[in-house]
Amino acid sequence: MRKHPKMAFGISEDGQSLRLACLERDSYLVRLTRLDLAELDKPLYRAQEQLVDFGGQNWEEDASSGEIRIDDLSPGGAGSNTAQLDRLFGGARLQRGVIALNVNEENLVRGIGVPETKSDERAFLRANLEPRQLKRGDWQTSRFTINAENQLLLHKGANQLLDSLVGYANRHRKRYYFQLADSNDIILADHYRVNNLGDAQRALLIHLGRDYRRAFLFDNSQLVDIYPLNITQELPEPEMIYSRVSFALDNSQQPEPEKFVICGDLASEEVVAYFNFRQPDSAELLGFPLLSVDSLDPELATPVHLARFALPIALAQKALFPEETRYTPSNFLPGRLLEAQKPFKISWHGFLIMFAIFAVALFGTVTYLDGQKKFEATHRLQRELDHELAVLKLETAEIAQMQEEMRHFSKNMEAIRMVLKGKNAWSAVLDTLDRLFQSRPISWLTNFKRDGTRLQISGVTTNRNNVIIFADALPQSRIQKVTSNLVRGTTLWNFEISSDFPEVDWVGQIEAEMAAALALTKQEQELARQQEEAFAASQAKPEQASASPPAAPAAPLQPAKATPPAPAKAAPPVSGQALKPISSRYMPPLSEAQNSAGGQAATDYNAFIRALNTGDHEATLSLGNAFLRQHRGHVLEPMARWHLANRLYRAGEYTQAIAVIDPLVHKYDAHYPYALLLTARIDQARGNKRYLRLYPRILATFPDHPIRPLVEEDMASLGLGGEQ
Amino acid sequence: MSNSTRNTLVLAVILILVSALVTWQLAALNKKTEAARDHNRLAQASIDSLELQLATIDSLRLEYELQQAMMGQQSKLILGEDSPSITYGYLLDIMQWMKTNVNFDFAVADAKEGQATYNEYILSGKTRYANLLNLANQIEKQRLVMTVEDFSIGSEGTAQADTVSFSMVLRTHFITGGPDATEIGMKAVDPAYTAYPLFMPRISEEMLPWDVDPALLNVEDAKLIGISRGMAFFRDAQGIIRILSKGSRVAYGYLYKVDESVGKVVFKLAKYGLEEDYNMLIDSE
Repeated sequence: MRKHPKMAFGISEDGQSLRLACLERDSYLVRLTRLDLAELDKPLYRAQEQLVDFGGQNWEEDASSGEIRIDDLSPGGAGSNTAQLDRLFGGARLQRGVIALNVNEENLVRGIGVPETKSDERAFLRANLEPRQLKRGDWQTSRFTINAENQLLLHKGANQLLDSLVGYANRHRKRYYFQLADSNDIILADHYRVNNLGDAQRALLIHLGRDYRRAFLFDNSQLVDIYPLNITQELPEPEMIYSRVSFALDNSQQPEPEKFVICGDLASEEVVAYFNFRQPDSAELLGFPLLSVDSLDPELATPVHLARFALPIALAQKALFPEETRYTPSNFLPGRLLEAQKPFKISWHGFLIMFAIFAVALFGTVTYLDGQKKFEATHRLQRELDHELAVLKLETAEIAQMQEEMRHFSKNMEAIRMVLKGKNAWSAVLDTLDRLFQSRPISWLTNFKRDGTRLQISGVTTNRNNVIIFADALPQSRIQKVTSNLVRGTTLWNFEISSDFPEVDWVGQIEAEMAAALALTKQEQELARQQEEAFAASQAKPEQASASPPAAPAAPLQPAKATPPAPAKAAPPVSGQALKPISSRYMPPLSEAQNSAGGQAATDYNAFIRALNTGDHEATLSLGNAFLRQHRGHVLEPMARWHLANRLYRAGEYTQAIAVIDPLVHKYDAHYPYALLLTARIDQARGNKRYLRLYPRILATFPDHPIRPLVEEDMASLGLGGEQ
Repeated sequence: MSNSTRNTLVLAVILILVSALVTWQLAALNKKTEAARDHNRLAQASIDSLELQLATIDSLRLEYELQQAMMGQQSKLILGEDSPSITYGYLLDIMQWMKTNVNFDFAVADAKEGQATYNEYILSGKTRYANLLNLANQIEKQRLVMTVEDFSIGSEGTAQADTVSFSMVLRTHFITGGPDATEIGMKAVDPAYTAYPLFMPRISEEMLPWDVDPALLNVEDAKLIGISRGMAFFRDAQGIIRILSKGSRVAYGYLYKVDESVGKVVFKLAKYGLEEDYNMLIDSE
């Protein structure tokens, strides 16, 4: 059942007439928008045996599958009434709203005084239904109260009006929504009671239909009784109607009503006038004061016309307000139809698929969360590795640079090896010949040239034995010709010798020079190591002798001297122009953290600086190296490293100086510009052209740094474009 | 179709969609995870490699310092760039370092194109033997890599006993990334042994006057070995390369024409009182 329909169609069947009313709900305003009537060729109920079979398949007979399909509800047609039904239903566009129907009295069984217990109701059903019918569930019940007396209404059998509508819907591929099917008694009684609340008069509602003719007695808006009117004429006279009503009232032994309210197909001004004639001002037509009829054709909006449509209007109104609790809660629509109209109904296969969806979603969620966890772990590891890799790349940038330069060096060496192989033996040959001929006087050469791949010499000697000696001095030699000649009484021997060129091992010479340099460096390193060990040993002895004196407060750190004295064995720069020593204002200052450093590191640092200031070269080296070895990573390490490198630079030990200062030029901190400057100076001193790049880089990177004046001074001294 | 059947179909479609979504999401996540794992494997390999490098940095640094020292010594260097001006200037520098002078003609032997790694030059002239020997010694032993491809020395006879004629084919090599010529300084090289004048005649016939200047090229004894940029290169009987251009004097005449396109020169000679053309083609041997 739809809770808040906007439009409802009430369709009532009464004999051969079908009446249709359409109500629209707009907030609190209800509009009557359509009234229509269809006169059938034959009634739907009175002569069922004469009706054409609706398609040969009654939905009631084929409902054993457990689920009703709308398609199966169709009787397949309405026989000879099809044209009238099509016109009535087709003109109303029933799919726009909900539909309310009445049920025929023929299919209704009334049970008076049936207790509201399940067993009693069950007994009542068994008494009035075939076992097969009972089992199949093709029945509906409803309870109705008349003057505080409870009635049980049982509807059984086919609802022909419903079948006609379903048949029409199937033929025309329409989808209708059935909201209500109710009995005429209930719908009329409810309608009058709900719309006439507070009416204290005794009123008799008289419905004069084609077949359905009843009178409803109300007292103080409460239904007192219902009387069937025994009017057999199809179109009775008003006198007949009045007499039958009076007869019914007399039989009921109820007091006379104060007013008569007339409705139904036979309601007319004449009937009302007759009732008023018999009882003045007592009769009126059933009115609908709460309905707006503005949108209705004025010809149809007359009281008589409206009274004739009392049943369909009452049905539509009840269907339009399902939330109205004053209506009797009754509905005779088949239960299976109501179930089939639920749009969200799910059967067992639906539940199966729902479970599958749940299972898939659960599996997917669990798997995804697990995968996400793994991914996050992998991603976290990736970030860590990337960070580590970036740090390592920075650290190994120096390696890459060195390797690149070494590759270039190797390439250069290989090129030199290729170029010089078997070449440039001329001076060696001439040197050999010069020394040889000097030892064999009165011999000289007249020609020296290359002939193809061989050397060819020609000369003169006074002793022909010399020719053999000359030839033996040359590789793969061959005496080509020896002739004699007498000149001024002396026999001269003209000779020609050809030979190969001697091989000069240029690469071997270069490698020998490298080996010599390597040996020299190793010797220097070994010497430095021995000095460090000796110094460490000499330091250890006094410490043992002092028997662990109490720890003294950290002494203030000492600044380095402006220009530490050059060591006695200071060597001049290899190829660079000598620069002035670095003054103290261009040395890295002690930071706050370094000044506040204490402990053994501060003591060692002070000792190192003292040795530096006193000019004790050996002690400076020993203490500096010991500090770097023992306090690696200490806040004072950069300072010790810079001063030690500066001392080595002043002493001409450039290789050592570079090795000491190198870590500072790979770490961008406050010491970096000072380290760069010192590196540039060392490079310049040892003839490494890198200083040509370093000086401009310092200026560009640190244009406002305190060392700028010294950088410019150095550049000017070196002719690099700085200020003189 | 009943509502429940329709609903079942809708649910089935939702099931398919959910399954597809789950599959797609899981596949995408797996792909992402695999990509991250691959990346990690590569990164780990790189880290291992870099750590290995770091472990050897000290020895590498020592080796590097040695190489730097070697570079500093500039034992032998190949120029980064060469031109006739550079080579000629370098030869003059050598003579300045030697504190001596050698007069020579200088010519570019051949134009090298493409991937050539050297330029070839010809030096030719007369000088004292000791000076020539020192020049050759310096060229071979100084820092700049130059190779002497051909070297011929001829005695000039008794009249100029301490003088020799010479020619030298010289190659200046260059390589990308090599130093500039101005960066190359002098290297201390042991002087050549020049105590003995190797080409000085000790005994000779009585000196007779020459019909023609003996210094001039005797065309009939010479071979044309090359032509370049309007210059013709001849090798005389002593193997000395002579560099002549149009109008240069030779014995009994002068060089009249140098035809580079066909490799031919034409001399005008008047050996027997009548001027005649003397053609010479490049010797292909």
